[in-house]
Amino acid sequence: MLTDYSSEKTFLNLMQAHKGILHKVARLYMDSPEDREDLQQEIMIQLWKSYQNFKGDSAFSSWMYRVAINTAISYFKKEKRRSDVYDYSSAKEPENEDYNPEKDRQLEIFYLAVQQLNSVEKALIFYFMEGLSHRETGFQLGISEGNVRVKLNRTKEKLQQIIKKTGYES
Amino acid sequence: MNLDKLKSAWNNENTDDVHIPSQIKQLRQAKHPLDKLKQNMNKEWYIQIVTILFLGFFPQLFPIHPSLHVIYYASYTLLVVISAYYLNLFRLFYNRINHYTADTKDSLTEIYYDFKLNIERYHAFGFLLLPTALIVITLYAYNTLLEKGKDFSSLSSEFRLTLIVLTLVVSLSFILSILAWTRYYYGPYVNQLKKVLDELKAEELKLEQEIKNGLKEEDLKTGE
Repeated sequence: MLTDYSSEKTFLNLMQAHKGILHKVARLYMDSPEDREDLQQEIMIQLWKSYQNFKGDSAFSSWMYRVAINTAISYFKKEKRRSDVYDYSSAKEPENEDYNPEKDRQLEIFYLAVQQLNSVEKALIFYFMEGLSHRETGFQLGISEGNVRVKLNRTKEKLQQIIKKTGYES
Repeated sequence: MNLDKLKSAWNNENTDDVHIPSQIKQLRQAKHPLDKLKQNMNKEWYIQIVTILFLGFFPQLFPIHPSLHVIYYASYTLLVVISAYYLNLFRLFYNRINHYTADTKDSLTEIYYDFKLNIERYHAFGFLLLPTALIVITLYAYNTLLEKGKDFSSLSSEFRLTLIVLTLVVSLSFILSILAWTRYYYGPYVNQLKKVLDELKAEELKLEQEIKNGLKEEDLKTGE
């Protein structure tokens, strides 16, 4: 069955179905709620502007990953490193219906640590967490599979080091 | 921290903070630097049209000797042609491009070069306006002399030398201020983009080199 990708309603329904991507990309790239909201809006605008070119040749999520990451990387608004000043002990546990204190705490620590990575490293971690293979990540970023493997390993190590520095033990 | 185990929490994260509007028009205006660039270009386009129209009546508003009208309108035509070329061509160019759907490296490379191109556009446009501005200033200076029954030959050689030096200083300051303005306005963004692109490309070059070295070593071993 062919999907009608032309209407505004279809687009907004797709946004609703994939809002997790907006949430995660914004959380990785921006550290304040206001900036995250700004980035989410910006990604939606860029998605809508590019939407007429989306013919459904690839999965919508795959296309959305690209636009979202490209927008986040080139947005640069108020992105800053805050490794030495952030108080990790103040990390709040998000309120969630399926609340798992340990997992949520881990996720919070993870997001705080990710703030210290650069734009490319954040993209690599995003695709890794989304479960993309090295090949798929390379395709999204426009770099080779080998490059993704090397960079991702280094980024994961770097992230573990940052997490260790916070005093978090698991 | 085991990142693989964290994926389940990542996948089940609460996304209530994301507000999807019920209509597209409820989204705010784009704030991406490239969109701001396009918005600026649109504004400049209108300002430029008003300025050109205004300059068309300049000799009537600030009268100069009728014999100088030909020179004024010749330089004015030059200004119109240059402005029309730059403003229209670049406006169309920027409005038709879309940068976000290609892979990240291609997308950022395109944005990077668009910004570099735009910087050069400002430089070239500014430098081309300089001769027109100098012609107009010279015409008004000459007009003042004509009204006093004099011309440039009646000026003392010291004064003429001072005028030449002054023209050079003003021209140089004008050029430097355009360079400084583009560097201040676009420089930080372009540098950030360059940093990300270098980061993406760096390992690629190293890996290519390693593969080449590996192949060379294999060739040497085979040769032995």
